[in-house]
Amino acid sequence: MLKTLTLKSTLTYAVLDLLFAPFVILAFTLLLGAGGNTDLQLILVGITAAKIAAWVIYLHIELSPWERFARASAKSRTPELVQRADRCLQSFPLRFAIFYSLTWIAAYAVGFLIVKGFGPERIPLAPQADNAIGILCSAMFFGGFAFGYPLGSTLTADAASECSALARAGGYSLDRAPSSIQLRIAAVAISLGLGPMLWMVSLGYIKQVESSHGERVTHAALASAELALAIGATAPSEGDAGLARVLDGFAQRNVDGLLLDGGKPRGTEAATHLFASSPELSQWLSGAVSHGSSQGTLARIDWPYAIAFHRIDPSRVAVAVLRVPVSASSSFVWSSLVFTILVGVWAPVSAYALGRAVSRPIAKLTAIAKRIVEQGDLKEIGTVAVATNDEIGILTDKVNDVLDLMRDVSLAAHAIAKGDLGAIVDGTGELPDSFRGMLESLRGMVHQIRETSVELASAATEIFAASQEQEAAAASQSSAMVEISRTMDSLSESAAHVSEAVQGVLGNAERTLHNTDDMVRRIGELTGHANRIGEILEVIRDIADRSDLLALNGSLEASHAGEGGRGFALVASEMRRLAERVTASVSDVKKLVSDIRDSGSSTVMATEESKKLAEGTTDAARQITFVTQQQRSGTEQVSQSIKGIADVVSQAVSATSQTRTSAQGLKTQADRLSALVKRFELTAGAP
Amino acid sequence: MPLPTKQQPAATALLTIRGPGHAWAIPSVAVTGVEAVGDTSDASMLDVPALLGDAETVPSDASRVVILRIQGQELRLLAHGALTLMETTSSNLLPLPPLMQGAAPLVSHIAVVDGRPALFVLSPERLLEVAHVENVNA
Repeated sequence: MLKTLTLKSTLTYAVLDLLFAPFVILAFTLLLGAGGNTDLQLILVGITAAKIAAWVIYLHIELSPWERFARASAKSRTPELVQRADRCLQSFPLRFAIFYSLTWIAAYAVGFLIVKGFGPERIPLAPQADNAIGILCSAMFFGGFAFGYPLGSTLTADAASECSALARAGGYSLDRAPSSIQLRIAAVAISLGLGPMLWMVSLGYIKQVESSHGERVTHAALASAELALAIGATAPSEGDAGLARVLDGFAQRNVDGLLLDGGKPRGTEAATHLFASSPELSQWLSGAVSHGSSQGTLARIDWPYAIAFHRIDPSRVAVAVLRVPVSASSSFVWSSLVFTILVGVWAPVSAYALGRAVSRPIAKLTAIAKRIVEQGDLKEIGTVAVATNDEIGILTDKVNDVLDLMRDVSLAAHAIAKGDLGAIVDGTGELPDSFRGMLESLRGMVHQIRETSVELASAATEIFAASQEQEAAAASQSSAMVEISRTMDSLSESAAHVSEAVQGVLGNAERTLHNTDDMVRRIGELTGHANRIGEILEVIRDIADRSDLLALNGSLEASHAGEGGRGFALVASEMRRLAERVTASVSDVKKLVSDIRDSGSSTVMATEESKKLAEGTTDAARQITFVTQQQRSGTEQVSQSIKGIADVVSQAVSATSQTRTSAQGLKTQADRLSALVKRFELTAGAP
Repeated sequence: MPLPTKQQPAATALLTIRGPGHAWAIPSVAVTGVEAVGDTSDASMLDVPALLGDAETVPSDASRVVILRIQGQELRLLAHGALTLMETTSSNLLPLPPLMQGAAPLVSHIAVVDGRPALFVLSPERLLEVAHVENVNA
């Protein structure tokens, strides 16, 4: 299977080209009188190959939009791409057929020019061969068009159908130019008529020329024989006068006579001049005579004369130059011309008649389809008359069947529209079956709608009552939400105040903590001082103790001294009292210092407690601040949420109100629906 | 040294020691000096309160060492409490009844203060004897 349209078309046309080319080459060479010239045949084969290459390139260019479309994926097949592809497919048959036919003309015109370039010595061409080649090229043009155009239409038909299907599926048009099947039939018919006709005319013309040439040669030989007899019959006494008389008589028959008497030519001036001016002729004649030939002829189709000689006796040879150019007979030319004109006129008339026989019923069917599509008027259309029993007739008959079916369906649809669901559609096939299925479904649906409408009305009533209650509840809820929102705002403000107060407490607690630390430090210093005082007091007490001891010893010494030591005893006694007082005072001070130390310790402990309390207070204040902030944030969020809920509830109130209204409307619609459904009659197949 | 026994009251000086659980005195004439406990070397001392039956009292910084010289010998007494040099007369020194002399060999007299018997006056000689006995036992 060929993958692309281009390849398929190329191979199809190439096969046809190769099929026709040998016959055309043979005919062309024979036409030019060069049937055995292999050089010319090879040249024509080469030209044919070039011709094929030319139309292959053109074909690829012409079909390139389609190939782009064919290569594109389904997703990328845009309407523009499809339209371009379709345009190329629509124009391809005519354009390519014209180009293809022109390649035939061009190929053989070039071939003819090459033949002419060979010169008459290699391939002598008949007079008016140009005309014959022109007619032959015209024949090839029409012939090429006759099979190139319908073949192009056939090749592109499937692809064009694909474009059409895509456009219909995509919902866009293809912008196809209007075309006429009648015109196409006419063009093909004219081509079919004129192609072979012109081909035969050109061949006939050449054959006429060739026949004329042969006839001329025969006449020349006959004239030379007659001339030889006439000269031989002339009395020797007449001399040159007798020869002149004979030659004059032949000159009136377009024959220039010449006598070779011992190789010496004597004759008319024209003949003498011909041989004198053409060494080729003189050489041919001398050679033939010297070889002892009794007669001979020499002629070329492109020469305007033919030469023949006839031996009179061993020394004399009569030569006749017949001055008659080759030509087709006028009757052939006239009859060909008339017949060509007749075909040229008859072919369009015949094509018109044939095209009309095809297009008229199609046009009628098209008009009916148009009326159905545009007006939908089935009653006025009636039945289409069937004139023949061919494809068109069968098509028309089937269209009548379709019209009958559509009328039945239309009547049933009318009945359904009026509420009669008992309508019956006869016939078989997808459309009537689908219609009956639709009708059955419709009956079921109407029945169901009846039941549903009753339930719907009941439900709508319930919804109405419920929505009324819900509306009242939602309104109450909305008021409560507004109140809660206010409370939350107040709570938020209180939290803000608490937060500020706690911030103050936190500051005081932190200051207290700082002061407590300072106090603990100072009490520590005080305790140190007290300890130092204790040490000093111990020294003082020791000194007092020593003094007391000293005074005691002094008193003892004084008592030992008797009356003389009395004064000293008094001093020692006083000193002891002083020492005792000092000791007592030291003891008091030590007690005080001890009390101070105890107080300091108690104060330190109390301060530590205070510090712990202050730290606890700080932590508590921080936690309270944090909690208060969270509470405030939470309260604000709750307030926002409450406001949102209030809005939602407000909307709910509105929605419920709408629901109530809708339910009321729904009830009305349900009642109306119930009334509407009651119009349908379910006599045929009600469930 | 015997106390005066004449009817004529004579002045005499006593070194009184009043401790928490005891009060005693010794004639100051036998006392050569008083030292603090810390000032005294390891010389042996008589713990008088213990001899008087007050075993509860323990030495402290307030304790004193009373140095006696008796019959040319030095005797150290450990005293706890307040030491006072008291002037009194012989009439305020009551001899110990004979019934009690056997029970309290160290006490020579009972000193009367403010009309009431308040102090045991110890005999330096007896203390010296006790010291000798203790040294022998030690």
